[in-house]
Amino acid sequence: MSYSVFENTMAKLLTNKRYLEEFKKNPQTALIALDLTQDEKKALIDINQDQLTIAAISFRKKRTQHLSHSHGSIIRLFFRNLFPKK
Amino acid sequence: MPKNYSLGHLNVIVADLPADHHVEVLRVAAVAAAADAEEAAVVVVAKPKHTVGIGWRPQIASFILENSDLIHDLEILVENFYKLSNKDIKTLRFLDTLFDLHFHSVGLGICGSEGIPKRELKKYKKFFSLFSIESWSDHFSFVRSGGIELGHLAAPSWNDETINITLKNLKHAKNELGHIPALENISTLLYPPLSTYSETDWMKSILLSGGQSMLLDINNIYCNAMNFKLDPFQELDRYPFDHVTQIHMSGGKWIQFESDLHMLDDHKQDIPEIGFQMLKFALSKLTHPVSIIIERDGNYPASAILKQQLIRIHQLINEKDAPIELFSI
Repeated sequence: MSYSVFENTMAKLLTNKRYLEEFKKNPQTALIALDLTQDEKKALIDINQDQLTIAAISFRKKRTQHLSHSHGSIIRLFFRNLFPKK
Repeated sequence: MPKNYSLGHLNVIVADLPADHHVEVLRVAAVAAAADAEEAAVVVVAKPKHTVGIGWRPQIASFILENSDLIHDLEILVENFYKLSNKDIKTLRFLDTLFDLHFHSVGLGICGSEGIPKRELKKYKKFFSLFSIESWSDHFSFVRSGGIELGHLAAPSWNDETINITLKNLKHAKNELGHIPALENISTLLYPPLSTYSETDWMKSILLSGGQSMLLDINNIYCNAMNFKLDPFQELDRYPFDHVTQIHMSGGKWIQFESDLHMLDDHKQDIPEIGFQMLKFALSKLTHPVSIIIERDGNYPASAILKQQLIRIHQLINEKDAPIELFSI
């Protein structure tokens, strides 16, 4: 279970600018409520923040281009993430 | 020049073959002589060579059709044809008459902890019911998590947990679709946290356990080597060449962040010289034919430049003598 939480946290860091900024300001606080092992929390806290930032910038850019191209409009993408299909 | 050898009572004539293959022919003849055979024949069959291809993009369609003599394989991005309109099906059927089609996808998320969603499997199933799938590839990546569609390829942590997840997902894909994809190494600007393996050791564990083949992306190795300050040739040398069935060639660019430079694999640049050198190295390691495919996703160059890249790959293939396989009858 906890690895999927870890993976989801990575996905949020790569795609959600506001969450990334909060995390960079205070990683411990951003992770406190998450069901992660100590090792997983440490791995996220120790993450190379420069690498994470540049990866997130590139990711958000590519993601918008790719999803708008392959899945339709940005509006559809917005609703797709707001109400994800299970 | 044919050459005569005497082997016991057999007179062996070896046709015009490179000298290093004579030994193998004589080995076969020696077995025949020892068995007291009155005659032995050896059939020499040239193995198929490596083939060259390019990714199908409408923007370079005319270039591809005009240069079909240089292009054997055509890579089709499955996601671009998901709707499978009559026009899509007609296009693919037409291309299938001219080229060997290789299907490539980005949406499987084979390394994702939540598995492959049913809706995705349904899309692939529909696609694969219409075309014979001799070659299909996806990536060592996750593309969705907890309701977030990432829309791009993300590197999972390289650890035991993701090895198990990937193997489980591969098994599921095999059961549902009847096929498993060759998996491609990806580029990443972020060294995946929580990793306990090197990238190559992690991939090897999956390939050895799952038994599937691999798509080796040369530029992704180069990008990761640059971004994590590794030697690209040493990294390439660590790959399991026995599993490699396809190779991707593309170009990326340097981007600056703060004071550091990072190599971004954007598929919008020409293949750099080091890419060709790495391909040459990879070809020296391969003992079986593979398909070498150029990926270009934008900033399309003049036809002459793209053509020169195809020719350069053909030249690298031809630099090595075509491997020859011997069968005795």
